[in-house]
Order: sequence, then C-alpha cells, then structure tokens
Amino acid sequence: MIIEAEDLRKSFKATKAVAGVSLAIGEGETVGLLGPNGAGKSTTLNLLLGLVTADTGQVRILGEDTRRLSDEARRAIGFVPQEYAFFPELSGLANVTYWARLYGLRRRALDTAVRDALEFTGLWDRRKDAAKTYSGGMQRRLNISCGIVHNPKLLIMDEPTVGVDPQSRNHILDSVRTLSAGGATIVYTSHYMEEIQALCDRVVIMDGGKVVADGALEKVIRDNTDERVVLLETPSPEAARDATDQILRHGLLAAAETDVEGSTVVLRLPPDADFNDLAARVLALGLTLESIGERRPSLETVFLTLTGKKLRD
Amino acid sequence: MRILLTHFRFALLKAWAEKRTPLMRLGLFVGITFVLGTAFSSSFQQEDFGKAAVGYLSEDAGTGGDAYFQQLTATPAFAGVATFEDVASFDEGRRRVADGELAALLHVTADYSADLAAGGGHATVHVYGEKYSGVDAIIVRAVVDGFNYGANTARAVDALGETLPDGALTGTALDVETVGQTREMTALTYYAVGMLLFLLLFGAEFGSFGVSEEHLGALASRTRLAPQRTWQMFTGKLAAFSLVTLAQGGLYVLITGVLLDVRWGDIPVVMLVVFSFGALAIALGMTLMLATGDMKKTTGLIQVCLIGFTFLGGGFIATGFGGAEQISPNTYARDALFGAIFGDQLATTWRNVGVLWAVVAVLGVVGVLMSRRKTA
Repeated sequence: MIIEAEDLRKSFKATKAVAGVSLAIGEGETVGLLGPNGAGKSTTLNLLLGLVTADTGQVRILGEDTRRLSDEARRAIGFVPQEYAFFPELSGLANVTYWARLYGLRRRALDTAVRDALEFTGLWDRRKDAAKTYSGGMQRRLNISCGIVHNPKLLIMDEPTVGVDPQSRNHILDSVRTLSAGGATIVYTSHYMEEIQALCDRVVIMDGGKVVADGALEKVIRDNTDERVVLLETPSPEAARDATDQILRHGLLAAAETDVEGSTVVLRLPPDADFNDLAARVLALGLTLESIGERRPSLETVFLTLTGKKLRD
Repeated sequence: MRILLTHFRFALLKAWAEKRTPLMRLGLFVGITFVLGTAFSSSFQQEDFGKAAVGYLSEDAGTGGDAYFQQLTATPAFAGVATFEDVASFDEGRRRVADGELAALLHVTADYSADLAAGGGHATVHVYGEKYSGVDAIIVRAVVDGFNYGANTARAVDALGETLPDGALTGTALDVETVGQTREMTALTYYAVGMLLFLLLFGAEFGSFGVSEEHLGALASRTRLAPQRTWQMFTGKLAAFSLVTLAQGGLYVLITGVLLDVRWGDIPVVMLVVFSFGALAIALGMTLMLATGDMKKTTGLIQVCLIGFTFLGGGFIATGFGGAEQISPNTYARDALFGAIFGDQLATTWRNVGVLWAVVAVLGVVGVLMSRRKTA
C-alpha cells in the first residue's frame, strides 16, 4: 500500500474536523476525494501528509509513519496545494528549479526534470517570465510543475483546477491522466464532479469528518442511488410539453416525477417502477417520439444523495 | 550543504528581484542623515571657545582628594580654559553632566588617599563626561592629564631624594580614568552611524518575510514536505540576506562618504560590523516570525524593535539612558563602528562584534527550536 490510514481523528477546539477516517490506497490508484465544504477533506489530506498531527490514529506512507518520514519517502511524495505555492517574483524556470534542487536533483538530471515539468504543463515558452505575470491558468499549471518536477510516486492534488479557464483545465486533466498512466498514485480533490468522474477509478466521499462512500466509481454510483431516469426525445419543445400532459393525464407518473428540458421529457422512476413496463405504457399513448432511453445516475446525484442538498458554509 | 546553498542562492535571487524597496529606503536614509547631520551640527560644534565648566567631588576618607582639587583649581594655567565647581553629590554631578550644565565631573573615591599612600600604588581620578561632547571633553581631558603629569613628575622628583624601593618610578602614582570620549565627533558622523544602523535594522523585515513565505501559507506545506531541515533553510537565508544588508550598508557608506563627506575610518572593519549587525537584524526578524507564527504580530514587534533599539542606541538623540542603552544591540554596533571610525578603541570593536554574533547564535537556536515546536 502507498497510503494506509487507520481511524484518524482530529478536532480543532470543539469542532471535530475528522472523526474516524480509515483509508488504504494502493500503488497506481487514482483516487478522487469528494465532500462539501467543511467535510474534512483538507484536514484529511494534511493528516495523510503529516502536516497536521492526528489526535488519534496513524498514517503510513510507503510503510513509514508520516510523523517521521525519511528523506527517501519525502522524495516520493509530490503535493499540489490549492493555493499557489511558488515565488511570484521569480521566473517559472527558477521556481521549478528551486523545488527540483530541494528534492536533490543535480546537473543533467535537474535540467531534464525541469524542462520536462515545464513542457508537461505547457509553460516552457514562458519559462523566463516572472510567475506573477502569468495568467491564473498558467499559475495553476506552474503550481503543478513545482509539485511533479521530482517525478513523485505519490501525487496529492488539492483542487488543482479552481478558477481556471477551460483550456487550462483540459490541459491539467490531460496531465493528470498522463501521470496516472505513467504509474503514479494520485489523490485528487475537487468540487467538480465531472473531473473526478473523468479521472478517477476510485472515489471517496466525505461528510461530517467521516467517509460516507468509498469504492470504485461505478460501484459507488450503483450502491448509493436508486434514481433511474427515462428520457423521451421529442421533435420539439411543444411536443415535449404535449407528451408530459398526456403522461400526467393518464396517471403514469406524478407531476413531481416529470420535467421538460427543451425537447426532452425527463421521467424519474419511483424505486419500485419497472422501466420496460413504463416504456410500453408510454408507447401505447401514441406520442410522437424520436427515441426513448434510460440515463445513468451521475456522481453528482450520488454526492447530493449522500451529503444532502443543504447549503454549506 | 546543497540544500543550504539552494536556499542561499534563491534568497539572493528573490532579493535581487525585489531590489527596488531596499534601494529606495537607502536613498531615504541618506537623505535623513543629511538632514539630521545639518540640523544638529551645532550640538557637536564648539561655537565659542569659552571655558569648560567642570564639576568636582571628593569623597576621599583622607585628605589627598581635597588636596588634589585644591591644587588643580588653584593652578593658574587651567583657570583660563576651565571653571571649577564643587558639587554636593555624585548623583547631582552626573545629572548636571547629563543635562549639559557641566562638561565633566571629576570624582575622587573614598580610597584615594589610601591608594596613594600604598607602596607603589595608584590613585585614580575618575572623569565622567558627556559622551561625544567634542571640544569640551578634550579640554577636560587635557586639563586633568596635564595636571596629573605635573603632579606625578613632582612626586617622582621629590622621591628621588629619598631611598626608593625598586620600581617606584615604573608607574604613575596618579592615574585618570576617562569615561567621556575625546573624539572629535561631528553631527554628520554621529548620525551617519545612527542611520546606518537604523537602515540595517530594517533587515529584520527581510528576515521575517523570507521565513514567513515558507513558514506560513501554501508554500509552508510544500516546504515542510521537502527533504530538508529547518536549520538549513534558516542558515541559507540568513547568509543570503546578511549579504544583501552588507551590500546595502556598503552602498550607504559609499554614498555618505562621497556625497556628505562622512569619514568612515577603517572601511574593512566598518564593513565587518555592518555584516555582523545586518546578520543580527535578519536573525531577529526570522526568529520573531518563527516564534509568533504570525506576520502581523511579527511586523508589530519589528517596529517596536526598530524604534526602541535605535532610540536606546542613541540613533535619534545623542545621549545615554542610564544603562538602559545596553539592552539595545545598536549600542554595541555603534560603539564598534566608532572604534573602527576613530581607530582608537578597536578592542571595543572586536568585543562588540563578538557580542553581536553571540546574539545571532542565540537567536538562531531559539528560532529553530520555536519552528520545531510550531510544526510538532
């Protein structure tokens, strides 16, 4: 195992930030850590990295206690914090070189690693410019370059795409995929469900300082929601509204279970409903339909199911 | 060592990238030095060469002390340059010296006669003067030295007629211990030193910012995960920023020397003191940052140190503070610089440089320990 955490607990005064988290992350896994604000994600990351001391519990990274990590183990860890962790007055090249040197790279290995890290994030052409002159997306990418320049086995990324343009986000996501394909173990936190869905083969959802779901992405989705949605594609929005009226008039579903999105009728099936039976009854109404199909529940649905829809601070 | 050098190199790079602020501050301090040196020049100049007012006090248990002052005050040669005045107590005499009413206080202690009577013994006349009081101090010193020289000669000649024990002529029977300075201090030199130290003390800001960016905020987590030790970061940055303050101090010495004609004396020794005091300022800022873990608190404490140390070290007003000035590192650096500038008290310079580095070492140890406590 790359990371083994047992029954981690951490309180800040009266607030229980982490209340009994256990995790085991194997080599090569890409794990998405999800949770609403205040769920305990950041504290968990800090506990995993040994940046915060747990009240109880233990974390081992590469078999070593995180409170007493050897230099060798430290060299195996890369961290991309949510905030920019570089010197804005220095150039991108100087920043990446600084971290490469701190991680023990020298001479040709240093030059190669720095170049690779900057090319990887698309910053090589702007390497001589001061980091403070970079756009938000470029600064995010520089943050990643600094975290990966020493080619870590374990990469922990805390919301690396916050506030970036779609182009930079795509580039960052591609980079993470490449790192993952290269064998790195990645722990990735994000508020963007689609990122987790696109990148991670395993998802851990936290709420109230506890893990409320943990497993392969498909399994977590399957196990944690019974929502099934039927989509009826009609030729026009008017046809969709007409189809909805007919469904309601014939009592196939209640009003709360139907919706119209453009020319699509969205039907939410009750837990005991049978898709084939409903489809047959809808077709029997003689509606003008272009297609009928089932939409798989999304990670977002699971997330909202597990953590509720109440707004968080 | 490589990690330490990495911190050293990148701290220099960052300082170079942010050179505008220190250079602007340097220009400002040269300007302040000119203003203070011009405004207070009269305090350091003898406008008329009238008589220096000298107080005297004998607390001698015997008669030697009174006899000494009777002869001194009655000597016609000295009446032209000084007026002598009996003071009621030692405290009153010191106060009047501090207030500038007297140029100096001559003081004889209770053991004076006994010391004089002892075989081959010395008796000491203490001269307390206003520090850096210029010409008046020189007059008093000349008067007391001249009189003692004469008295010692007369005593030796008188003794030659007797059977003397071996070694009776090897030392003077009357000695003088001068507390006041006899340097020809100008306002410009005085304030150039004071403002140089004030400028260097701003290095504490360098130190605190240098540590804060890697001890607080996002960089802190990445820094703490890196395979390095706090002392490596501390030492590397301390060395780099000390070099930066040395450069800043060197430019100040050069500019004030060329533009304001400040005489800096033994430049290499002056630069050594500048480097030592700069290192102390950096270490102070770093340690405060590591100890408080809070940039706002650190900035507040640095401001207090900047003003407090400079004030106690006589950087704003050329006076002493009844011993309180000894808690200010500026005092040690100032005396070390004066020793190097006037070349008359290099022993003080070396001793004070040692004191400055001892403080740097203590601050370094405290800083590293505090840093460990915070990260535990």
